[in-house]
Amino acid sequence: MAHFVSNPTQQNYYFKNNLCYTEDHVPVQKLYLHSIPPELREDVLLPHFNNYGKVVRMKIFGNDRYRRMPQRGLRGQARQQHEPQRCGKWQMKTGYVFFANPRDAAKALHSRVHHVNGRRLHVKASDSWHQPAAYGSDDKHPPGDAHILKITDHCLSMVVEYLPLSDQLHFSRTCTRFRGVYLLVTRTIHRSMDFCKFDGLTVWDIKDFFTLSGRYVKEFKGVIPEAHCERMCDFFGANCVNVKSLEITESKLNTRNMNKLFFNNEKIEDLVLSSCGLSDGSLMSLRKLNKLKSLTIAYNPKLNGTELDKLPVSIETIVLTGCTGLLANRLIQMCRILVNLKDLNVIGVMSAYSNFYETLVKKNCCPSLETLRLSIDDETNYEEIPKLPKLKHVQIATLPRLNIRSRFFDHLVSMKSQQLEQFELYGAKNLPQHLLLQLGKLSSLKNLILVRVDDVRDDVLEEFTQLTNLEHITLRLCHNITDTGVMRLILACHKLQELNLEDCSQITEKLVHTVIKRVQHQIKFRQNEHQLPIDLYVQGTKIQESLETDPIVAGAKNIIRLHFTSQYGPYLLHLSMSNLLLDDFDYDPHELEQDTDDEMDIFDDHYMFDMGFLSENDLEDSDPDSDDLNVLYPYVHASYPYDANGDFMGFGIFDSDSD
Amino acid sequence: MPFVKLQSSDGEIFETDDRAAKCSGTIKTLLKDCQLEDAESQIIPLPNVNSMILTKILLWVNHHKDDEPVDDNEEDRTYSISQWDAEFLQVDQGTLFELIMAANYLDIRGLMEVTCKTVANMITGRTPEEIRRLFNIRKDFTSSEEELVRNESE
Repeated sequence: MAHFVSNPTQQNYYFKNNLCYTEDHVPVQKLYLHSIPPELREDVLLPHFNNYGKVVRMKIFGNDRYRRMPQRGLRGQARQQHEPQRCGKWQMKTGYVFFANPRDAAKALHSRVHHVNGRRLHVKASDSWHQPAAYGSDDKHPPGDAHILKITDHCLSMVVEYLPLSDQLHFSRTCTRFRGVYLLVTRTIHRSMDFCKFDGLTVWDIKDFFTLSGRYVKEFKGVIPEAHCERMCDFFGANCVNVKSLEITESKLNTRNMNKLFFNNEKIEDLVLSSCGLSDGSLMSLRKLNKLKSLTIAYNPKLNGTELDKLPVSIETIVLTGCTGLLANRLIQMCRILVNLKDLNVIGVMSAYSNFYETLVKKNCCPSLETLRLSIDDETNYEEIPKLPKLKHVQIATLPRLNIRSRFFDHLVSMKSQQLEQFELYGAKNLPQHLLLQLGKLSSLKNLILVRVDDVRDDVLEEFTQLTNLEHITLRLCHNITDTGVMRLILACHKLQELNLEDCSQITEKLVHTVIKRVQHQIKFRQNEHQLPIDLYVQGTKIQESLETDPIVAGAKNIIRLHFTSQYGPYLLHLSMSNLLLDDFDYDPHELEQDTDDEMDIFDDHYMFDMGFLSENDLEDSDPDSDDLNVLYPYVHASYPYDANGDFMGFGIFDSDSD
Repeated sequence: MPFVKLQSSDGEIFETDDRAAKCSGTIKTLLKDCQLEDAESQIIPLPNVNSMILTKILLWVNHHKDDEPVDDNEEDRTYSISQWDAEFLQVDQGTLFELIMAANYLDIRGLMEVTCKTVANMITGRTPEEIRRLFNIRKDFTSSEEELVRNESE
């Protein structure tokens, strides 16, 4: 089997028996020329390539129309000083040359760089589908019946369903009938796609998938393979016009790629672009997504937020976790524009630490905000948060050494005791008892999550028995609560159906037995008012898994269901979040300049896309955006900020006390 | 054990036990709808299946009549083919595709799956040109690029 001569991402062809083949094993007859200096004109290049053999056709693209205009004003000057060689790049031309004989094309491909009149230009094979032999040759039609064509489309479509993706695409390229069958099947089997399914596919396969199936895909997610990132963005943007949910993580999305992805799509409702090295300018490409409801742009530390106020107003949920570079005034500006915002997640956003929340309340931003997720430090003015009119759900991550100010609790109790439905507190290890007791006054509370709070004792739980609306409580790593306290809570809160007591070291089987006994007694005398069954998460307590086989417990599944696996699923966080604080926090004004300039690419991109000659590596080598992704952050599910040992790591805040 | 009589397209009559015959959704429905359950003398005509294929199919259903019914769950779909089935399906293409059509007509799900998997395995890993060669398919579309070149070269 033939193999690629060298790095396949650079060289897209291989040699075999004096012929050259593309990655799709199509003989090469047409060459793609790129990085042609402006002074090399067609009349110079044609004789050069004629030296290899007869050229049937040659075309050079790129002229004044495609030349970058010199930057005006201060910004342009700053950039030229900063990046002098970049200007020349945009005057480079591209083109193709078509040889009459594939052998001559192969000869020309022996060197990837050609020298003409002392200037260099780059040569590679044109994409498979541009080669004349792309679909094979007719003349070799073998005699005999094509038995396969006798079976019905229904049978053929069943065959297609058993094929891996690359073979489905090869099948569709076999003949028009097969293509028709593929089109029948694709609308049902490719509604939900993951970018990892393109692993190992050639560019032609990928292109065919997007052109044939793109419009049927409703959900797309995953990591865009770096080798084909730009072209995938091209194909996606041009074809996936019906995608409603797009989730891209850890992919290199520069402004150019972002423009390609979104120029044509108006149906996206759910969008995740986490750890994608996004720059401010690239957010401009989202401004036309007027159906967008939920946007997650977590772990894009380069964002300063200058374009956040151009996001579509339809957004109801926005997650900015770990966007450490966001500026406070930009956040405020965003909140003023996004009037429909219901859920704001600014965990690990440093700039929100100072006066952000005070301003939010004072300026009446986000009038519909129901959920606020934040992390706090010494300087944060969070006392005003309870004044947000529609607030129903607060999630706070804090440093263990920090004391939450009592004014916050006072406000919470006085303003939101009839409204707040969910309260979550992570990392407040030393929260004093008098504040915990305040929580018992939040009578509308349905969900309460306290993790590793030392002062949660039985007398605090006694206070919580007033929370008659409580449906779920998490008391993970609260080592001072006992069976007695939890049992009282269960018996008092009739709606309480889910208790997470993971890693509470004093909880024993006695709790289970007592609750069963008491509830059974109540049922017997028709006094039971409790919603049943009750789900208990008891991993890491003294309750052994063998308890499930106890006849009494096993017979009382209608009362208590025990769970010995963690309710919060697998651990997602592997790296210390300290990265977020220590690295990449310095702000380089030049980066901003470059990205703003990239907005000019919108028109250029379309021009190039129409030509169909844009390849993944052209123009990109010297692109300053290439350095965007020096550091990739782990994508952390915001609801589970623990490390592999189950220790709280902070949502982008780090403190050595956290152990 | 009750028996069912089946008549192939070329008039041959096959007798098989009713459990094996009911692997076929088509025959099962027919027996139920026409209430032929006890009418053992009744012959069911199968005008779309010839005797050669019907012999093969009866061989298959007799081997598989005690199989557990498979779940409809798409996730559980396996791509493996049992040893017996693999040997059973070592036939020429003409027979293979007639078996698929018969399995489709008779609605024998298991046979349908295993034959389609076999075809899928034949296709897997081949280029379009190799697929055409494998199945004697004539290429019937050209790339626009190719036409362009042909016009230019003339």
